Amino acid sequence: MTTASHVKLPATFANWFEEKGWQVRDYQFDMLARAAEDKDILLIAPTGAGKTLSGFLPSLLDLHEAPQDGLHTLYISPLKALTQDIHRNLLEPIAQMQLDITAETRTGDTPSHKRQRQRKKPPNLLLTTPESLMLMLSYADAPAIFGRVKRVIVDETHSLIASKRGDFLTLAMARLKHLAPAHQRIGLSATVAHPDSVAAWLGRSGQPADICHVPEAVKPQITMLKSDNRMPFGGFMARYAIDEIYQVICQARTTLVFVNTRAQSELMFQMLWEANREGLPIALYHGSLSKEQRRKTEDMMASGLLRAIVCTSALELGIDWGSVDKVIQVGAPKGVSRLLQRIGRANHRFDEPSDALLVPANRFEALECQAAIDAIAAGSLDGDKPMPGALDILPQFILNCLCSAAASPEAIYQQVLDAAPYQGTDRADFNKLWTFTANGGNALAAYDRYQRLSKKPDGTFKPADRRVIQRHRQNIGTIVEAGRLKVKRIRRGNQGKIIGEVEEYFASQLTPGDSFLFAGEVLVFDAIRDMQLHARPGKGKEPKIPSYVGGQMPLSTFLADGVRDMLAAPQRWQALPAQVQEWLDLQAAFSRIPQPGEVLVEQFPYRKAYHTLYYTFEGRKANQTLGMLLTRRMEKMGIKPLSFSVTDYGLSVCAVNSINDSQLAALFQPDILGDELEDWMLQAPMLKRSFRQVAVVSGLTEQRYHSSQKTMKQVTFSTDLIYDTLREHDPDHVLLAVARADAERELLDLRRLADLLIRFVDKAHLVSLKKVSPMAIPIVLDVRSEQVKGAGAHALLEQATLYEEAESMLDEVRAYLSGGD
Amino acid sequence: MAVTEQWISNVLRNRQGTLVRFAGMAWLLDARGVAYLPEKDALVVSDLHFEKGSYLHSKGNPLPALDTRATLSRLDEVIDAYRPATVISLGDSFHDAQSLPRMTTDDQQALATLVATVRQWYWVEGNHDPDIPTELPGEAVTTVTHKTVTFTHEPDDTATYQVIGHYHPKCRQVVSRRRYRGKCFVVTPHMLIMPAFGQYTGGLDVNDEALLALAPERQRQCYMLYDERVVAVT
Repeated sequence: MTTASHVKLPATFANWFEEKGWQVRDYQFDMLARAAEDKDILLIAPTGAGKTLSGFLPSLLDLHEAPQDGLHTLYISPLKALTQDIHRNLLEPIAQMQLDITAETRTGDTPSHKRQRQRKKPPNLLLTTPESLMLMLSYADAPAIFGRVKRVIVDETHSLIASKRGDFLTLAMARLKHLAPAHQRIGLSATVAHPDSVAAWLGRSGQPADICHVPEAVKPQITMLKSDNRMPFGGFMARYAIDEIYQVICQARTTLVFVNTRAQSELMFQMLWEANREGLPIALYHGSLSKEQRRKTEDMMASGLLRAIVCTSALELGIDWGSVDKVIQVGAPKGVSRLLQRIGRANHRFDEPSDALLVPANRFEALECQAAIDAIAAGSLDGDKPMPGALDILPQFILNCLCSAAASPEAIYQQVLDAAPYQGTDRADFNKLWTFTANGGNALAAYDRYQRLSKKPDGTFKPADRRVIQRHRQNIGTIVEAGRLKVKRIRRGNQGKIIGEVEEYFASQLTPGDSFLFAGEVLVFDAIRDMQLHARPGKGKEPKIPSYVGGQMPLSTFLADGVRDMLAAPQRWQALPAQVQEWLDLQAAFSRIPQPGEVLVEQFPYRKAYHTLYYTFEGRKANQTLGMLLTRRMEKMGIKPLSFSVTDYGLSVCAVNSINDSQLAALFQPDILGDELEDWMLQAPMLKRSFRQVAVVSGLTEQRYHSSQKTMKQVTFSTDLIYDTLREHDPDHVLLAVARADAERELLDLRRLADLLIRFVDKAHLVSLKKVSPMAIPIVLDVRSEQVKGAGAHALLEQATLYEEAESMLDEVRAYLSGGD
Repeated sequence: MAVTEQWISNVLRNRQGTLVRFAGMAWLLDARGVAYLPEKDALVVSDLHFEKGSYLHSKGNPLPALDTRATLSRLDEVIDAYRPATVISLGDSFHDAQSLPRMTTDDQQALATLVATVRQWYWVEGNHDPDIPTELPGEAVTTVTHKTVTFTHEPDDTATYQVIGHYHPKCRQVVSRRRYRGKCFVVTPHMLIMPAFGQYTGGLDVNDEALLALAPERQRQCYMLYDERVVAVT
């Protein structure tokens, strides 16, 4: 850090640091020096190291030395909540040092009058999200707003790598570079497995950013709860541990209780309040609550009024609440990096260890918790490597650029190449996507007159009319969410308050009088009116819990390896809670412990069907693909598969008939990759699912409904229908290819699967059981299963009486028919 | 070939359709989303919504406009299977007033040829197509009547028995904790509601207020279309 020595802070800043009792750290000087040299910088530091302030420091100094009007620095955060929090923390030093600097937030929640003002008179520092940035870039006055941007700060950079949202942001930044060629980038990241690839992702035009690495000062203290209560074999709610969790909350100053899904958070919150004998202020926080509710909780937390928050990943990034001294993770940690991120919420001070408690919800999860603790102690990290950019975002990007100013395909293509994940984008692919943007890529020439883009005399293109622009702006973004309904809590008549959203899928399951748990209370469903779900507070036995299909957590395959290793080494079991050791002994006695060098396959009857469990430990993606292929072959073999579900550890297939050893040998063969993959891929539900996402992202179908349309469902229709139509009548359509590529990118792990199948030819070990084994319980209980069309479903739906009734009517029809052959 | 007893028997055995009694007559509900009335040798199809794709297209949506082609080829297939004396297209056949001129020449010709193969083709008017294009063969009507049964697009309060379209009903069946869903026929003592046939048509759940008002849960029987089969929803 030799460059650091010649940087000196102006007196205003030096005094402020002194008043705070803070010291400027070496790495902060280092960053200032590099910023002065106009280098892109990736700052990798553990939480609590003052990362965010370090990111803003160069800009605060710039603006202090040379005050200017207009936008100087853009701060981009993956979370809306984070922009609020950072804004709060940023206003403090600005006020205390009396700096002449303006800072504002701009997200989807920003009221329109404020947006208008921000366009006319942008603040010096603008805190925003990737979607809001893209929207602003679509304005005709984007060059005026962004033309003088000097710096872009990307917070929580690690969370954006290898995601569509990250791809989307790199395109927005490429556009920004076109408007403000000299801007500098600073990435702020938690510790990651592959720093070099993050630096390459961040840097301008192929040049990786300089890495500034602040090592972890102290390792976190992590323990696993060893409860005296009976720990269940399966289930995901950790009810057994509620009293112990509550005790920990009582003893700590402030606790964050992390769970993995929104549904779990509702239930955990409910259970904690039942146990809350001392009436401690405990709150609930997840992404489906209304923004007012979330804001209220954030403010209460910031002013130290809360003792605990039950929360989902919505609170896991960067929000800085100094008072948190305990983090409890309920349920499987799902990944080492994610766990570290969550644990980092506790004791947001650099040199003190974070204090965390892991509470496995079932005995299998205890294995994963222990694997995570071991990995953190050994300093190993999981993390995704960057992938080539997702192509379905390009139509959105093309239109976004043209909404701002007319341009030629060549000019936009060059900007696309400027985004790191898109460096290798093929010109032919780009051209197809351009054509799609222009006219839907229609194969029928008759439809050529419906152009969304019109060509100007100089050869550039612009959107054909205002409707195209409006429609695009309403649908910007890449995160596909299932249809949502606002939840209105009714007091009397139709009067009430919006308290959040549920997925349409959940709403469609409710009948009037049903009760469900939402925002921490029991509500009774009334009706769906005007795209709102009306419900009243009330009582109900066994309220349902909204599930969120879109809110499932991406899992890391890294821990699956850790669990496999632990199972193979019984001497390591001693670290596990006694109940978990007993459970493993039980498994060994009842069935078998999965051994290295084989794939254990268990089979047992359950609820009028046969379940087979394949313990592959190859991760969710590979298991998903294996499930598709196995059920396809089972269908051909007459085993009548009904559905399958996957976890990181294995695959569970449910079928009408059982399998034997020779059938298993025929199933578990590498040739299923060749024989079944192609035809199955084309009709698999998962490909339709990825098409659905591609359709929304590329602008094919609207994500936002116009509230004026009453019978929305008759107007909108499933993208499955478009998929089927294209497959049949235009199989070369570019979106089919994109959906296929997307499925391979996000869902399949063919390489790993092929490797597995080759390694374990004839090494699948079938154990037939009378009932479910101890180890299988959590996997079987994980009900998010994928249904299989075919003979199995037909057998389930078979109605002998319907057939007999119909056949009995044949006689009476005979008289009218044209006579038999 | 036209419909024979043997043929219907096969359809029933393969679960590709079922026979139900409505208005005192036997009706064959086909898994492809059409109803056949043997007594009149009439095939009923509803809500074709031709050129819905290009309609949305003209609203700035880059939807592939292949829906007419897909709907036509499916329609051609069922008409070829039944060779009915009468076809009743139960309204909303055309998504909007400009649907026919927007169709490709090939599709226009295919449609005209198909209509010409049927002795009597009724275009019942719907809310989307109050004016049926006159250049097409077939007869534009507001309703069709057969004995006590009225075929109409939207419900008619004065009819004793009526076959209607318009609502695009769909429903679900849960068996062994698995959920199956699809478009459906809804049959009540006085009403037969047809599923939508058009390629780009969505559906309204039978438990939606609008459909419950017409067909209350206790009076209705739903026949769901799933994977080329007809299933009575219990």
